Amino acid sequence: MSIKYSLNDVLIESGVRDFREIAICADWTPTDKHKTKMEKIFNSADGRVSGRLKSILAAAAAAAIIFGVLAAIKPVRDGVASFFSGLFTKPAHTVTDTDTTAQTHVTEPDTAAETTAPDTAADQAGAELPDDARGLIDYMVRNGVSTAAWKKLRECGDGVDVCLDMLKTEEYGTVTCICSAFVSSRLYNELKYGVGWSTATANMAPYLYNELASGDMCPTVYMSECAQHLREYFSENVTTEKLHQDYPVTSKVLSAYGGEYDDVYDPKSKTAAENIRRLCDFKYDEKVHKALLNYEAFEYCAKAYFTETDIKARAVMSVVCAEYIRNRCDDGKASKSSLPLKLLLGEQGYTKLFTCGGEILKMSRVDEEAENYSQWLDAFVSDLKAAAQFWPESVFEAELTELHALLDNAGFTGYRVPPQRDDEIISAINDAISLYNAVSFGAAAEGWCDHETGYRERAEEGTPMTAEMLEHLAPFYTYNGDQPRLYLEEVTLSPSTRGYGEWLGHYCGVLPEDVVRRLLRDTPRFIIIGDSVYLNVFTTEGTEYYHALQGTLGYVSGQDGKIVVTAVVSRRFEEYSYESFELEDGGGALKLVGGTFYEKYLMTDPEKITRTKAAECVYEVLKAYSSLYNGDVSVAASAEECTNSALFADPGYDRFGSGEREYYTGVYTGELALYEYADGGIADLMLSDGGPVSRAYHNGNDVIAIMPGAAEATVNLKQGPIYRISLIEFCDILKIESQTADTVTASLQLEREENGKTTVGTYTFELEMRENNYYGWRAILVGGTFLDLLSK
Amino acid sequence: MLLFMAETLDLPQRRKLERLYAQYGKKMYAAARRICGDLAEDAVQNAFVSIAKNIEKTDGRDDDGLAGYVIAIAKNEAYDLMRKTEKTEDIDSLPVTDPFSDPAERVFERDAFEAAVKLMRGMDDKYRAPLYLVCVMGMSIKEAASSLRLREKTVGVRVYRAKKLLADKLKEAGYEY
Repeated sequence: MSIKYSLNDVLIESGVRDFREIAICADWTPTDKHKTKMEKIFNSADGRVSGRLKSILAAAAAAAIIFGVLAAIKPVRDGVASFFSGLFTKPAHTVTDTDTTAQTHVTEPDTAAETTAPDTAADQAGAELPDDARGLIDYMVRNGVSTAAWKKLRECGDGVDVCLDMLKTEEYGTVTCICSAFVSSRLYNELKYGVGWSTATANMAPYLYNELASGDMCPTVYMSECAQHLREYFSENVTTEKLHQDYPVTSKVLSAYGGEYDDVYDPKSKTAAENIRRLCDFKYDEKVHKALLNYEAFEYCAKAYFTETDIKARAVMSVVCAEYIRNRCDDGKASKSSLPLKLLLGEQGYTKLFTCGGEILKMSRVDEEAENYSQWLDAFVSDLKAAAQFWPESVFEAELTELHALLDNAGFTGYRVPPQRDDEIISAINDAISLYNAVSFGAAAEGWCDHETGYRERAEEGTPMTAEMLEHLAPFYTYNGDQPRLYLEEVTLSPSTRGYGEWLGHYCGVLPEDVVRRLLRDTPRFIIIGDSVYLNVFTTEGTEYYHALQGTLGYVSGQDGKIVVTAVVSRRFEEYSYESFELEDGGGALKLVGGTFYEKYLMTDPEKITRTKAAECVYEVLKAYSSLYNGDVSVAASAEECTNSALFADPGYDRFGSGEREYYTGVYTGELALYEYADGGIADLMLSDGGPVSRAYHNGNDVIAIMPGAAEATVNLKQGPIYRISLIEFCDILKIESQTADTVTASLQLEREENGKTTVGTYTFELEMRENNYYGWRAILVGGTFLDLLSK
Repeated sequence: MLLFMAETLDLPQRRKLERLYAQYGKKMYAAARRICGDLAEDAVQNAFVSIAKNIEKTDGRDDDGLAGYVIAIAKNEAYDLMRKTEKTEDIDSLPVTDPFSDPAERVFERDAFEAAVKLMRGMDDKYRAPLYLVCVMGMSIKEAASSLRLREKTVGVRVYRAKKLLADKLKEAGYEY
């Protein structure tokens, strides 16, 4: 690409990247002194600041405090983690309590705690600590974990009980974090300092597992050590049966960290389903593997295979079946075992699955009557087809001949295209993208437009070239039927080093001719004067949106003379989308003829374009509806910033009316598509006072505040929530009832949930194609039953 | 000082300042805290005094441009609070040729651009902040010096050195522009 950047671009980009990486001090609540100083900066000495502005500032301060509490979860969690990290790793000072209760004869490394948890501001201010455990936990949630508070909690006789109780009922992150850490630490010390097994130990043990699963604070070494202690206590005090029955989570801890612990885990006592899951969840275990090689397990696997969705479990099941058949039919010659399951469970599971499949096929010759076998085989072939698309046929021909024959019989030809052709494919895709960049942003491919040595100049009035250029450009600058408005200062031209004939000749080899001709003709970025070509670079913003292929190719499957490729395409430095490319393989140059990139950016079928535009409109309106009614608003930066932004917003703030209100806010990231896609008054209606949302304008961003009471309706498609469906998928879902050149009527079945009641109905969408100077052609929602819904 | 600043702003300007605080205050605080710890709040306050002085320079800036600006100012104030005395810059070697005489001129290919961004992010803020103010915010050396509370000559030298540093490092890494 010949796009170039300036020193200013470097400075801005580096500033933006820095800015993005700065993590907000979410736990910072401005001090009174700071607030006073900032108010002095903001407020005028003559009192010209309105009362409303003052109320905004006050509300902002309040919101900051509220948000500070909410955002404190992570810092507090970090604080607790830090606290315990020190507690677990520093040498412990043993203190032995004399109480006889399970909770109080625990020892704790007091000094370690004291050195790792500084007193909080509240402690330093001499705040009185609550006396009871619940009060202390609440205190730590509010003020952070301090040595004094922790010590006092430890001194509470019912500390562990209260924590266990709160862990059962509380979902609030900080509470569970503190309680879980407290319980774990007590258990750790109870085990470590040998106070013996107790019911409390067993009750506390599950939280070891939770701690580890959350990845928050317990180092693996600590877990292992705890598991070791637990094993010792269990072996001395608890029967295996009791462990399984009464303490399943503890048993899981031991399974995960116990290594071989025969007394605790006996595979024979497990069902096949449990053993399969055990292999999938944890790690390879020879005993479990062997336990699965029986008829009951085979029968279970052969049946469950069809409904199992976890690919890992399916792989295990396939091996179990294969090995069972093999063992049963072994005539003594094929005495070597099939591939061990532990290999199958590795990263190259698919490769092993293939090999196992070969084993299965061999066995099938002598055991074709095995129960469910043919069904199982069909399903296996189906899986095999899906997997084989990622492998070149040559691999199958050379190494997996049995499977190759099987796939041949099934009529499969969609193997991965040989990697040797990847460069050719990448080159073809890059070529197609480069034409898109040229006609969309005036950014030609390397060697096609020399921005560096060629001149870049602004068009000047009165020259013959300008006259021709104006003639070319005028249609693109017509707006709402007005006379063409073209400001020459908006036009910056770079001459192409190739003539129009060369452009046409080259790119017709990359894309269908009608596509190329239309792209080169219908754009203000590509100006043809005689055979000369000029790229209209337009604005600096435009050049930053160019597209480029990123990384390596994903899925590369070839079938019936076509190659289908998936790859990541970048836009504007850091935006990425996953696109597909369908290339025609005529034996010579590859030509892009389909796929999502082609359909979204290059396609020429006017009817299809209209349908896609219609789908895009409905898609955006539904997303907007869901967002606005559901309160599910994407937030540009952080909720905190948005809260403040909304409260500072002006003049939209007035739309909310007056008085104290609660707000959920977000910076506009597309939710207000109703303004762009729905007929004018609807958006205003929705956004008016009393509607579900309110909107304000702030510093270039729309800020919306959702009134909680009104956020109660959602619409979902049969296929799932709209946000989980891509536009390309949605194009197929939307039913087009009728279509003309500039109108579309479509329908869609929607599940609408309001006030807890769900109704299913078919809604219609009447759309009109309209041209906008900024967005180009776009479908606008102008009628239909869904619009009526919005108007209610 | 603070009151004086407030009186020189009209209502829209004050509102703009408030919005900047709402939008960037926490990040400014975070950036400053890394440098001057507990003095971060003071740094933010001082930064806003400085921004207020040049509030008109923020007109027409997009969020990207403003983000870099406010963070640069906050960091500078944080450094300012940290240093006891301002060292006098060596001004003997004033620029002979400016490596980037026109900061808006598009001279970097994509790879050089990425390298330059990386270098810029690693550059000492004492060089980067003046460069940002002068090149991106369009301030004169005098205005930048006022914002950064540095002498004009110091700012001039730092702007030059920042450019030279970038140019030299790029050249060293084999990038041409």
